[in-house]
Amino acid sequence: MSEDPITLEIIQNALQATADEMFAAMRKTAMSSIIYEVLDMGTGITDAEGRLASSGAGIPAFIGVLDKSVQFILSKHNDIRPGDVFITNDPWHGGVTHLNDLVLAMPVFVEGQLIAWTANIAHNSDIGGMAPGSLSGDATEVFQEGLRLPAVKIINEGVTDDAVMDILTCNSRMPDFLKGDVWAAIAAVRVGERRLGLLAEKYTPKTFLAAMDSFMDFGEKAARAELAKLPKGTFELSEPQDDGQIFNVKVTISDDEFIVDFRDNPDQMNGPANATRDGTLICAQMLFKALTGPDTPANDGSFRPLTVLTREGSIFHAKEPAAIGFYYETEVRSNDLISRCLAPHVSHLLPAGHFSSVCGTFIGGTHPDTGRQYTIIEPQVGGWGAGQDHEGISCTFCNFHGETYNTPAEISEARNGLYVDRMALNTSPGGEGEFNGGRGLVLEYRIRTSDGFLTAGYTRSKVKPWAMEGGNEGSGNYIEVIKPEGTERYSFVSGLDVTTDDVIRVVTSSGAGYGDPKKRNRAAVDADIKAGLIAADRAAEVHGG
Amino acid sequence: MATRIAVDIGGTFTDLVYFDDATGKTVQGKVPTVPAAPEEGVVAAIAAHVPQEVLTKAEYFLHGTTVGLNALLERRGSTVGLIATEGFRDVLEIRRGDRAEMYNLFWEQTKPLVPRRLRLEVPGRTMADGSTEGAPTAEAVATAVQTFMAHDVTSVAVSLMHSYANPEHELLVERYLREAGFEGGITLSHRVCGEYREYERTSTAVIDAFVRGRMANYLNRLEGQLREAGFTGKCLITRSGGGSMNFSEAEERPFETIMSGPVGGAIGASEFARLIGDKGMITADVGGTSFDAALILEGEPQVLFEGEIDNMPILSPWVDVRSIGAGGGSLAYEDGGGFMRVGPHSAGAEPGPACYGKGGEQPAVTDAAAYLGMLGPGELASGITLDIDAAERALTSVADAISQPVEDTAAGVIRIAASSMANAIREISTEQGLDAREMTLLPFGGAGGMMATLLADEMAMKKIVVPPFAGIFSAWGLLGADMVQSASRTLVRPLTDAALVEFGSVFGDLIASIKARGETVPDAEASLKLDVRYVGQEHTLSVPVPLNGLDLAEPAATIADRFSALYTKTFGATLNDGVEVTAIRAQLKAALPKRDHSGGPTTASTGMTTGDIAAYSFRDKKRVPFKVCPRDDIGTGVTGPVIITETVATTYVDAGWTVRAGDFGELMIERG
Repeated sequence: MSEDPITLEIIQNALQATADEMFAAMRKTAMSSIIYEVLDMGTGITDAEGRLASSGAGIPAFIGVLDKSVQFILSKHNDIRPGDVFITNDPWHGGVTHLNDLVLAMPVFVEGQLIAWTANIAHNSDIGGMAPGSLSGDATEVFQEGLRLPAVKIINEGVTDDAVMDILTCNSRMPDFLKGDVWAAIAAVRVGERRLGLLAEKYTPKTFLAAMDSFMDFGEKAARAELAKLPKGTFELSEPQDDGQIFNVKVTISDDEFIVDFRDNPDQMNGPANATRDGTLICAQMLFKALTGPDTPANDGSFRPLTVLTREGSIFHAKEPAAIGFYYETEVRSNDLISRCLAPHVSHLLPAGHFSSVCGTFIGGTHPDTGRQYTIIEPQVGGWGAGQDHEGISCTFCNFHGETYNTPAEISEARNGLYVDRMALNTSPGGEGEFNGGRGLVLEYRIRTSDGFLTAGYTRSKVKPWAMEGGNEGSGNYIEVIKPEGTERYSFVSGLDVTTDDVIRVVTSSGAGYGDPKKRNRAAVDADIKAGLIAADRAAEVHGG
Repeated sequence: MATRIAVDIGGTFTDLVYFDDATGKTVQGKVPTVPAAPEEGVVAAIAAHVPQEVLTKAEYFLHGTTVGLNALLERRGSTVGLIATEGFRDVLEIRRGDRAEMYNLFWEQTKPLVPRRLRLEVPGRTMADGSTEGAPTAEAVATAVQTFMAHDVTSVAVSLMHSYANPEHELLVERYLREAGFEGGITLSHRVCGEYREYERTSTAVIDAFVRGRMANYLNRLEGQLREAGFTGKCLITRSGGGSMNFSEAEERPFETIMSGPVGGAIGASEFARLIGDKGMITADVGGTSFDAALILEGEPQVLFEGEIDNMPILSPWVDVRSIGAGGGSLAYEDGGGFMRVGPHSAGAEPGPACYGKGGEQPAVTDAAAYLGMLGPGELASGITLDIDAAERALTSVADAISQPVEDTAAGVIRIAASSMANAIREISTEQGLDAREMTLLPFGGAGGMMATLLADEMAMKKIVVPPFAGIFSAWGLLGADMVQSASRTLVRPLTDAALVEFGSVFGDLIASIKARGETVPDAEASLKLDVRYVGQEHTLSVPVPLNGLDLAEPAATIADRFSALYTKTFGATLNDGVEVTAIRAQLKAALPKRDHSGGPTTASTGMTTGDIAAYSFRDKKRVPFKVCPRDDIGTGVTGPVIITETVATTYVDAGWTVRAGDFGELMIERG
């Protein structure tokens, strides 16, 4: 009688609380602003076999990473002991994203039995490689992107392996930050390990394991119930990209399966925007979750009806040793592709296209006040798509992110050695509909150093966010560099020289509109005009008199 | 000693307590809250429970209210205009770019309190180091005033970049606003908050401007009615960060009172912890719809410097009270997957739990407790007779849905509620590096005593203290609220002896700025905290620094050691990096005259039946005989299981615990 539904419920709540507790611990002790401020991190718990049981807040695209890492560790090691901590970052060795993202995982043992894993992932500022910050648009092989950690033990039964730690720090341009962040990650998996251990002791390992199983079964049941409500059939979309490539997806929905087929896509590229199979899988998981119950917890069971087909050697399933530093723009594309493919058929479940780019922006140089090297790594916010009876939200990170925060202008100026001249809604035309897309951003950085550089990679620049039901598409993402000799516009740029008083203007897209703009409520149009979001003459043209 | 009256307005009831200096007695009362006119509830409570001669001679009226909070939550406040630095009027709408529900593609962001057409810009820029380029112009402000007047703006917030480092431009805008004929309220962001982060500071200023008019009206009406009724003493209201302030200052700084409501319990707990000499306490305030937990260390609540309401940040001192939607009224239901969940939906006051017999049909936590006998035989002292059959009917519907017996389902409702509450307690204890097992649980609120031993069992705590006046403890806490004023400023500097001179001078300025607010507290004691961090980290810890007059009394190395010790305690590790200061926090505090604690609750006949009842024991996992005993009959020791009844609350003591009366009217419950 010990496995009653009430005890199971209590254990499941505790699993969630533990993932959150690890998240809080890591955030508070991390050294790098991209972890503690931007929250480019995630935490999670898997069962003994590496199946996802619960996850903390953070980046949805990170949640599905941790189970894959643990599964790899399990396949590689046969001497897993209490007190061990493993580290990986390589997509062909249990990492999923790019080398900057270090995954730490720790087994949880009770009474000699492996019952679970605690794990986390976070973006580290520099892991070596050809460029400061480890990410370079010029990389053609993963070897140029930093130190590869093939799922090795960094702590052996509680004893730190100094050799691994030394190799790590020796390979970073920012060794203190790297070391501090790795220790924050170790502290976090240990917090979780202790808590789960106590929980399993209190309720017995048997009941604890039953709780994890039933939690996943519940996730599956909830997903299948929603799956049953989706339209059945095969849906296909081919979409041209900014660089002229054509991406393709076929989605087959049946009573008990949701199959996403990415096999018919271009070969992997020479540059760093390749995605790995696991990364593509996660993007499909995120969309599947949004369709089948965004408000229920995500665990292994939630994704059981999903199958993702890829072709090895393609941009969505890159082969070793492809460069993968900018993988995220391709992952965002695969997610958006499925969304665009299905939206016309489930217009109540999916909004129109959003700005759909991480808009990763890297600015660095010599800090004018301290003389030290600085690098800021900023994803950017943008506009989201409108939907049925739903106005798109403005200036929010893309759906790859969740609980992610921008850096306040006052902190950028006080700490990062540059000025922020403007941080405003982008009011350029685009995204109108019966319901309007949300607004993108205009952000102007003014450089204060003579040896600055800019690296950025934005998609959805030429091929703009897609509208629904007759709405207007979004305005497009781009970046401008304003120098005395003139203004240049970019969407991909690597290591561009910028110098004192040059202005880097980030412009992100509005979300796309939903429904015929002529049907927009008159009072809403008047309010838009008063708010300065649309000029009166354009309003007359787009929305009618 | 001073006679004083405290009134705490809650969602359902307005609680009152007064202390009569002449008799040394503390008297309590409860009336229904009047949501449309809360001050009428206050006056009604006084009329019903405070004799005229006590009202006339009372020296203090202490108040906790959710008026400001409700104005915010219900968006019933002033029409606010915002003046921002050129290029930054949209900061309020851009926020920090986060999205609370990660898989929800239809997530809605909180609507800004100021619409875009009323967010206007002025030229001029202040830099991080306080230097300026250009300045706001009278013309730009006059143009803004025309727009504001055309839209009936009654309150203006001015939030310019880096105003914490140099307030000159904000002061200039204030002057131009008046010169252009604007007569409404003006909030300058540097006055509400001296810290960096433009979104958070702007949000705080706008919230202040939004609730200003409503708060001033409310406080004026309330004070008017109190005076009319014959009260001649000082009117004080509690601050979100603990302590209290004059009504007149609250009218000027209303944003400091937003969380006035839940703070009373934490203040009371602090005073009680000092009284009984307890070093580490965790409060468990179990009300009808919510559970609030706070940590009390060395007799002080933990104060944060940022809070949040409805996704809108407020940079102001904030007693760290964690709330979750779990209380006596929380409803249990089957979630569609064969599991039972409890809360956050609540039966509320109407219809209330099924056992109140007012038409409730879904089972609430209180129904489970009533069914299991945890509330005694069924007659509550407040006059309600529990309808156990109705509770059973409500529970049966959920029991059937999860295929469990009613008895197990009822026990499960209580266990799930207790485990959720324990998770909230862990957030403020184990997550902060503290061992809850070594601490004391202080349960209060209507259902605090009911959950006490369950929560202690969840947390493996050994000691529980149920304070006197547990049912209205938040109001009781107000009686002892010290008067507090505070100010802070961002200043990023390495922690060196040379920098201490600058810290001292900023601290002096902050104290002077508090004193310039008008009515100040006489005989106030100044204190200083520095926000300190390792160079490179963002999160800071606030380190108290002893003072010698208004000078820092410790060298930098000692302050750094103090920080390292605090860091180790909080995060379990220490780093070898340099240490820097990011903010200076000044506080003036004046204690109210001490009150006499010998009185204890007045003894009222409970009219309760006593004897035995077969109630559910969570230790034994079955019903066992529980003694039923009025609180006044607990002497030197009663061994559980026992149910203790009193006027406004019931305490459930499971098997395995022993209870005795303490020196100040409290119940001491210990394992064994």
